[in-house]
Amino acid sequence: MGNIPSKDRPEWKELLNIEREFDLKNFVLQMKVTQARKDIQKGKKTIVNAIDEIHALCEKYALAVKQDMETVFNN
Amino acid sequence: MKSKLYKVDIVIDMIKQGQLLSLAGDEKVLSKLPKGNWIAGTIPYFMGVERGLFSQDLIFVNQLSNLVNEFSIKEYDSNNIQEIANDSYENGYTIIIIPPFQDVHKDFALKSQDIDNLYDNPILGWVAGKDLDSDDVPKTYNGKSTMSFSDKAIAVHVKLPSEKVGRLEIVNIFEQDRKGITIRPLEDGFEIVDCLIDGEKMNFAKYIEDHNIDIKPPLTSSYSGAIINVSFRELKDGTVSLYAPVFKDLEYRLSIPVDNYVTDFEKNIPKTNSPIEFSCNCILNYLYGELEGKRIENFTGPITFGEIGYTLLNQTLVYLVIE
Repeated sequence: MGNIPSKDRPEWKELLNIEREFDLKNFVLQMKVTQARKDIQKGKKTIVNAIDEIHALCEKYALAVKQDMETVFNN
Repeated sequence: MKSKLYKVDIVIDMIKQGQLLSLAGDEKVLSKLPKGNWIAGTIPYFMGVERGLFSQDLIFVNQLSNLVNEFSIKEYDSNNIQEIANDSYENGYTIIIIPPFQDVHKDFALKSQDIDNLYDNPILGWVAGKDLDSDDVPKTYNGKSTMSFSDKAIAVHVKLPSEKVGRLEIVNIFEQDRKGITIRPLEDGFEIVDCLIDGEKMNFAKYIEDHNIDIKPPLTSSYSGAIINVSFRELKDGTVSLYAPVFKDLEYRLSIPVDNYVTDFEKNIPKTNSPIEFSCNCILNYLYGELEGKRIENFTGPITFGEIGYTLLNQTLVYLVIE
């Protein structure tokens, strides 16, 4: 599970930036990121909390989100 | 897993063996089943192993992976549907069947994205239906009691061992028409009267009629790259009715019509080494794509009045794999 970049990488914040468009491929990540962006906008969630949750989701689905991690982190 | 159509007597044997089953069939056959570890919803349309078909005699069976022999079956209505994700196991998946156009259906559709921990585990399933030429009432069944409901959803939560993970995916053959208009609803809901079309307030039904827009392809919105469909139900008295809600904080676009549904589905269904645990597809794809008598490779399942993939979906194939 060690393939997911650490939570302190700035790209996680960029992923949650509503001005940025990412063409993600994994369905649950697409849905989760969309929801997290809305929750941050409405003040229901902090960016730190959102990154914690998305990071945990990516660790769970490490293989399935591999391509998306490359997209976000430009590896 | 053998996900396919069976005769009633064989399904009864499976139930008596204690198997954990998700079932789809006509009320006439589902009402014959004994108590056991099963949930069901009514529908007589299926994508079988060999072809799409209508049957009121056969039952579609998904034998669920009950790898640690731990599951729970629970009924949901408007009062507790918000608890569905919290009711799931720490690692597992949930299959839910919802009756159409009831409060639980509307509440789930409008509020699912506010459910706590929604994305922790796959939550997928379908909306029950009926013979389109009948006055039958769509129902759900709790196999533990064999009780049926026209107003309650039924779900099975299944626990997975720590080394396994459930992954929910969708196949949507519709693409957004990025060169066309943008549609911004003025409020959340299953209907659109006025909306902003390219930023200008207009009556949506009149716009559709004036521009002779085909309403078989759905409205679409992008969720970070996932194209989520909202299907048109009807245009009447200046109102556009929909099979799923639109949300005022999302921008929608029309979609590009599909020429060959079978080819497009087969092209978009990924090859997976893991067997598909559960899948379903939409009645509108079945009708508009004329799928009766046609086979879609690697897909079997009920043909449904709506699909669940964390939220209510339309004209979408939903599937679950255990990896």
